[in-house]
Amino acid sequence: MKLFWKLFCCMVLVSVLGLAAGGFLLIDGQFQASLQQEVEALNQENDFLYYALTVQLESSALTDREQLQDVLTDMSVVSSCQTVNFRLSDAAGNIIAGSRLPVKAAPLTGQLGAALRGWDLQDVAGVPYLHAASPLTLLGETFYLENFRSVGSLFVAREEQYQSFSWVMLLLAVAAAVLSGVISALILRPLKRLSSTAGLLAAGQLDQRVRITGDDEITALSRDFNAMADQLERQVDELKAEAQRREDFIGSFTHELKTPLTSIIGYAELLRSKPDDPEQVLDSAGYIFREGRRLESLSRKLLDLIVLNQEKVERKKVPMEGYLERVGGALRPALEAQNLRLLVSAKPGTAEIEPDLIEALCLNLLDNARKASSPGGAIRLEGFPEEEGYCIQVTDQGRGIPLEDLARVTEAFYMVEKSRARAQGGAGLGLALCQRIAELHGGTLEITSELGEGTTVRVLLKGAVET
Amino acid sequence: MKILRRCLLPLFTAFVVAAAILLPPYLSRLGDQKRMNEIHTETISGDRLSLKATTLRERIYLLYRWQNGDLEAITQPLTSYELETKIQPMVYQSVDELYQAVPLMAGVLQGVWAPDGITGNRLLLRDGYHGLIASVLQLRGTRQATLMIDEQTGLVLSLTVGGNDLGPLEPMDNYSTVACAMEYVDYLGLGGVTMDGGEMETLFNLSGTNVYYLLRSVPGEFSLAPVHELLGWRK
Repeated sequence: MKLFWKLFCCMVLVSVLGLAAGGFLLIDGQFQASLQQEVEALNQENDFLYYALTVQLESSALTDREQLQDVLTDMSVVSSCQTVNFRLSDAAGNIIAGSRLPVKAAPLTGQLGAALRGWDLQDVAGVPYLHAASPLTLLGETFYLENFRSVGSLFVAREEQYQSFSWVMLLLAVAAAVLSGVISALILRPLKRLSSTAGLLAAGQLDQRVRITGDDEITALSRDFNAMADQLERQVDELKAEAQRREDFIGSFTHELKTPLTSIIGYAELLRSKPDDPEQVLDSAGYIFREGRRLESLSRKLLDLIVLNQEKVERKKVPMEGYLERVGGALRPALEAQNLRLLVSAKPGTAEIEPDLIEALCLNLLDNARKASSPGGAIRLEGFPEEEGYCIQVTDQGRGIPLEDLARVTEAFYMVEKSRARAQGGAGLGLALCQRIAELHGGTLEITSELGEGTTVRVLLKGAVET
Repeated sequence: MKILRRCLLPLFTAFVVAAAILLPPYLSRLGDQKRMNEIHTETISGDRLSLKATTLRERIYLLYRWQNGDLEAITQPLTSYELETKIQPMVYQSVDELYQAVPLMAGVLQGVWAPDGITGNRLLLRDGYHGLIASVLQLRGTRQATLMIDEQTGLVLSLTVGGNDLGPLEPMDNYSTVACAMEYVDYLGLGGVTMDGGEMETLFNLSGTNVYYLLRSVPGEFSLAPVHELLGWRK
């Protein structure tokens, strides 16, 4: 069953029950109060009759029942312009004088003692009568002074009220139903919007959001729903980007694998077809060797990247001044052979690093700088402590990187100039590795470059630095 | 089964709505059946025979209300025994006191009062436990007169005298109706009445109602009785 109908029915139930209970309490309460008033008036009337009779009997010298009958017969009682019904009966139930209405004295009079009065409600020919009685001792005998009044009008009035009540209840039930329907629809409108938006999201429209209005629980739910949708959209975007990256990675990897293999296969074929040409054999073997080394380098770096993606590094405190000098020194001969100067300038400071990884990072950066530089150029390897950690910076005076490529150079297999890079034995994995190593040290890698001026790669290794 | 479960709440709601409309009168009728012929008894209180002490003003106010039909009253015919032994002497004494207290009235009515026969009823008026016992008497003489005497104090609470040859407060030239009425009010012990622009101010006020005594003197009738509105009270 829909929530609308549940809400609707509950509201109608509560309203109608409340109205019915209120109406019943009001009408029945009013009736009982009126009946009680009549009872009190009847008792006072009985007292008054008793009083009047006593006054009269004090003045009259009564000697027998006949005189008593005469006195009572001439007595008239008027209340609010209406004659009051009363009578005097003896213990046996015989009426001495007064009204002959068939109101039964018994069993009420039978239960009255000398100091007890009472009343009851009787049905006399379909008309309800209130009947009061009190004992009276006259001529040495106990009589009962009874008075009664019709309360049929009270019952009729109550019935009329109930008839009106039924119509009013019917109208109120209809009104309550209409109102409950409207209120239920209003309450559920935000939920419907939420449901509709959830449906659209499920259908793939991840940019759909619920309109937020008001400040109730459903609004809070809508807000949470929107937050969830934001998160979902973000994650889906990330997943898409990740999938794209993987696709690109596989594409690049395949391509990078295929290029040396094609050369190797080509030169192997040449070797098979011309095994007697020593120059050709040497040349082909040289190509196969270089491409094989390139493949080896590619597979090693790939392995490094995969390993780095899976493992956590164990860091230790290393004095960076000597460390960078040593790392720079390892590459110095190769650079000098290319007529390039390496300037190492490391300021004192102890950083918490994994030395092998940082060495790989430095060598990669220096190798990139080497590839970008022209003979006679200079490469700077600098290290200095900063507020957030220790900074390693490699600067060259080479070709520089175009601005549009800057954001992508850290992607695996991305090469600014593919042919040149491949010719220099590159596979586009160096900077990806460097970035991953910097991340493993909780650090960042920033590249600034100007075409024709050179490139600066700045690696900040976060953590406390002891100077 | 599924459809039944779906319809359960609407059906229940419809049932409750119908019950809410039909049940209240039914419950009341059930209560009536229980109430019918049920006997309720209580001990008779000790002050059953006594009416609360009532001032003259309150008794006159009861009289005024009875005239408006707004009170419970018991009327009993006075027995000849009572008339002879108690009422007749009381009438003579009350009228004498009235004449002494209001000589103007004696001047007007002397001679009218020579009752050769008295009949009447005892009137008991009650409002809760406040009450008045008065004798309402018809005096037959030269003129016919109706006299109401408070049995507790013997004061003449109201009087009406009628007759074919009764002039308006005879002799009109010598007596003032206002002076006569003021003397009568003094006789009742209700003094403090002042004249303002020819009309008598409120005699007294009980339960938010102003009660005045109206003295009416027209040819063929002379009466003094408590009224609500001050009618025809002129110098």
